[in-house]
Amino acid sequence: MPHHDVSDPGALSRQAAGATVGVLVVDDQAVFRATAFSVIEATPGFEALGAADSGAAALAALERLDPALVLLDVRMPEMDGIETARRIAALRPRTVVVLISAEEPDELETSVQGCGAAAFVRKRELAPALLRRIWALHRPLP
Amino acid sequence: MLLTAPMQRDALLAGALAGGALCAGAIACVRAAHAYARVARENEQLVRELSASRARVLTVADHERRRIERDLHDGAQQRLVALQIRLALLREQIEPEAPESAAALRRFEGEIETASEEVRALAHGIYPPQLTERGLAHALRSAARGAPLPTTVHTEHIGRYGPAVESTVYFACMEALQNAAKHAHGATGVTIEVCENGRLRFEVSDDGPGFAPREHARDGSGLANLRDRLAAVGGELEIRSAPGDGTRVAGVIPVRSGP
Repeated sequence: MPHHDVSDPGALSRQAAGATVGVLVVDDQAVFRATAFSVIEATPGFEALGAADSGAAALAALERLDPALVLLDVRMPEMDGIETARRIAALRPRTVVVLISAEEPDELETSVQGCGAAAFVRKRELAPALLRRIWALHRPLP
Repeated sequence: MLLTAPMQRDALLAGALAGGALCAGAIACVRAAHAYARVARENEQLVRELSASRARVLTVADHERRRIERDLHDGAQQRLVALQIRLALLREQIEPEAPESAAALRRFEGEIETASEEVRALAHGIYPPQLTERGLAHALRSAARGAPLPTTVHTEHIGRYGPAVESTVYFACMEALQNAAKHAHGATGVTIEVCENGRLRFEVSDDGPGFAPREHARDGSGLANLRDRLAAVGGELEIRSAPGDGTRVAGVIPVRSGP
């Protein structure tokens, strides 16, 4: 069942004003969605806009939440992260997609390349400093 | 005229007796031949049933392997990763005020990472997720990167096949890789070749010292399991080796492309 929730209703307006980077978390595992929210909340300048538990739910949430950044799990049932990234890139090319996975990058190398994602990170490396670095490197130019 | 086997026998006997052509010994021979034929037919049926049973066992076993791998990935592995991230967040918060406690937390993070890596390796050994998600060629290349001996993978005209076929070839190659690491002392590398032309063929070869097959007439349990596994999908296994000439483990399976 599609799932997304908005953790902070004020986040959308703050993002619209350019004050924060709005983030959508996409992962089929609740424990990781909650953990990613904790990381985002601990990162000044970033706001957790909501979460989705599938690729389809993520695509549905894009229009409503308008995230600047999507943290997207690679391994999900039905539509996986790579296919979801392709579709996000086609629908909203200015949205920065970061693939996250518990797997090592070399196990995914060929499929990750060319799917439209800006970066690939291992889940265990997710941290405020990494979020800031990725945004500094990949944020779209005005 | 179509006759069933007992009717054929009776008709033959009746005909022969009516004509007075058969002696008692000949009649016994006909009866014995018929009994052998019946046993042969029953054997064929048993072999077919055994083969189907093997295939079912293989399918169930692979299904269970995939389920366990998914459970490990979705359960223990995710919780360990989440715990590691939360500990790192906590460490960053307390580091300015309590550097010693932060250092202790960092050690815990390292231990959690080790546990997480062990769970990941265990899950992949049970059933590699790449095999389900990306197919045989991708899974073999991924396994080759972590193989104990330098391993090269060549694939040609490889598509997607049924899970039983893909897992059989994958685990056969893994068994051969492990054997090479264990027994091919001095080998500098292993080559895995997989190609398809109506039949899916694979060969795992090493440049180790090889062995005299006559001195190792009986398969170890690993190779015996491999033969059974290939037989369950209608395939065959061949092992070629000679002293000084490395070892080749090759198999062939009839296939139709498509999962």
